[in-house]
Amino acid sequence: MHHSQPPTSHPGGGPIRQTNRHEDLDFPFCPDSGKYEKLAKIGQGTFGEVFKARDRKTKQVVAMKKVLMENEKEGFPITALREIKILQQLKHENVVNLIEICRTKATPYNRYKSTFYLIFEFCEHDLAGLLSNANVMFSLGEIKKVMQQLLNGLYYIHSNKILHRDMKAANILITKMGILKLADFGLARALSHISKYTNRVVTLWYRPPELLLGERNYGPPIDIWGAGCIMAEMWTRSPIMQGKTEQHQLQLISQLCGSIKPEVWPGCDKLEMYNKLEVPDGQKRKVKERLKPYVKDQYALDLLDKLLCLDPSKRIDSDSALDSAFFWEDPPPQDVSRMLAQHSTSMFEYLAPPRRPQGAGRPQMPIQVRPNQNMDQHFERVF
Amino acid sequence: MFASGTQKNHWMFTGPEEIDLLRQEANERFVNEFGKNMDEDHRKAHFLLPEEEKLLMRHFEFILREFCKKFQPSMPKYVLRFYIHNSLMDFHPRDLMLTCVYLACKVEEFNVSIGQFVGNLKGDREKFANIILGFELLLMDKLHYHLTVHNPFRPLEGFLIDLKTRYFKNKAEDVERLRRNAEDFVDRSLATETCLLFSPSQIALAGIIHSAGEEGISLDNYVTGVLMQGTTNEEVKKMASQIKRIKYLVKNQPSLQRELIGPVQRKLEPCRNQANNPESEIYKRRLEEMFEEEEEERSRKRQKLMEEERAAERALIGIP
Ligand SMILES: Nc1ncnc2c1ncn2[C@@H]1O[C@H](COP(=O)(O)OP(=O)(O)O)[C@@H](O)[C@H]1O
Ligand SMILES: [Mg+2]
Repeated sequence: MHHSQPPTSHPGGGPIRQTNRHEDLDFPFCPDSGKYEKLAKIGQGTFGEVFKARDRKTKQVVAMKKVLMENEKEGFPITALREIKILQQLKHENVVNLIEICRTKATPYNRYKSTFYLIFEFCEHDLAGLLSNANVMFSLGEIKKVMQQLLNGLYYIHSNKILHRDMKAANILITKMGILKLADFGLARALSHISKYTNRVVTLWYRPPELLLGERNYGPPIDIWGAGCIMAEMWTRSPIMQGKTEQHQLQLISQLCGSIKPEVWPGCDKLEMYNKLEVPDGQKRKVKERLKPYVKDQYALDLLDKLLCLDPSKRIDSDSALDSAFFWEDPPPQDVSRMLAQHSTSMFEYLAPPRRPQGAGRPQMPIQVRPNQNMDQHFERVF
Repeated sequence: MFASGTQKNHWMFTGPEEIDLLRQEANERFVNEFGKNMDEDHRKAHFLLPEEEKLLMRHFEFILREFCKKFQPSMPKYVLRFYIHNSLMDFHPRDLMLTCVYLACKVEEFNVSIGQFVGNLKGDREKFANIILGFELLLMDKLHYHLTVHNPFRPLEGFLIDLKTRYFKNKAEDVERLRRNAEDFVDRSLATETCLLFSPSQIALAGIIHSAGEEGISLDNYVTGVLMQGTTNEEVKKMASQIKRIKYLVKNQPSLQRELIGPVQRKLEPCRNQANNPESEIYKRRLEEMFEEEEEERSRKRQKLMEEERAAERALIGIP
């Protein structure tokens, strides 16, 4: 049974099998995953595990993202296919670099058993891991640098007509040199494939109002909303709107950004879910007011206000955001490598304790539309 | 994105000669492997010759083009790439073609399930589904996971818009008249080696020029005066000769010679690599072995668990 033998490597890198040897002569690419030695598990995602690993020969450290083939009735999973296809087209300092694809064994007979790995350049931290560690403190200049790189990455992918669709702190990687990389393109889509997208994308806490209201014809602003949530999180240190349900999320958004109504967002009442979900009325917009206790910088508050704009057509784009005063007024953006150098261990969401300092184990208060004075109380708890 | 993508780096060749050579090498590798104990005459009689592979390839390119029309003519034609480094004797183009189109549907986000896909085919659908899913991973492997294929349709659209805005101002209908023939030209080019030799925008431009020729419109001034404005004479000449070559390749596709296909297809059956033939005994046996192996592994695990449990029980009641 030739296919059950442990794979060996030849100088070309590919596996040699006992039969069909001729098949492989041509392919120095597509190496066997045995080429890498796993060092530690660093992530557990929806679609598979992520490992820190090392190239046995070159000693290059990489991240291996597993693609599970079990129970795949449709063949190679479309999510992994998208991630591969999109990352091959994107080459930018602020986008994670896909090095290659590896698989365990390749014969037509073993499709259920084969495991694929996406091999990425290794980044030492993810932003969720960093923010959950109280010893990691970002100065204002360092926050500027993080946000500038994040928006640069978004500008690049959006100008290549790609939507990320899963912006959140755990999908933002940072190398020890302080370089930020957008990662996890498992939900990303090319804008050119516009038909009607599914609106069930983006982790709930980072999901923009248009998606919650059922918009299917969305665009780059959905990623910008996520950037706004992440920016606020740089100060609050935990996600700013941790909804339990879509309804609840919409409520939290209204409490922060004001009531969603046609006067501030023309056409929002035409969206599918506008009448199906409860859209809280009578809320004032309080983005700056609420965030002020955490974010002292006025320019930061101005930018946050524009990123967290309810109406997607009026939400700032990455280009204009990069031009905003926040990045150009003192203190200037400052490299985070010096600060990170004080920390010798990698920080990942997977390895960190849950990021809910307050009320983690407490039962949640039932959420209702309450009179205004109670909102503050609720708001406190959410932060 | 073409300029920075995998297509330019891995899937562009210098000329038909290079492609022929690579295919000839694939043929040779196969013959050397499977004809170890045969003399030269026996090999020639038994295996497909490079010319015969080429003939059959053309036949399947034609079928592929027709088949893709059912979906969308612009979808990636992975088959062309696949058979540059692989012999038709190793993988039957009939099996691979289906797999290629299924993979292309996924990459292009057509949202068809495997069930719906084989539902479009005549014959044993379950068998087709198994063939497709069986070869899909192998196909991706052989394509080096380069799944994006840039096609000339988008640059063609660009040229049409450019013509309307910069050259035939106020005569948008004239430009639209060029569309049909140009699209047809591009479509024909896609099932040939042309797309392995020239960039999508070169092919699109050749399509426009060809179409204009059919309509009796000259685009010489557009190409030299507008499009290539500011470039050297040298470059213009180079471009002109490339366009000429593309037009030649697309228009002078050798006719199919249907009467020759049958005998070659029959010759293919006995010399195929049976290990890659889903109908063969050896293929079925290996598939079974794979499942058995899995079953064995499972029963080994069960056995181990049971022993552990028994040991734990014994420990509990104090038996050493
Ligand atoms: N290139 C990388 N370097 C370091 N860690 C990574 C890398 N890619 C992913 N990770 C870690 O693995 C986690 C999960 O990976 P991700 O690509 O987001 O997969 P999923 O789709 O499962 O969320 C990330 O949150 C991050 O902590
Ligand atoms: Mg993730």
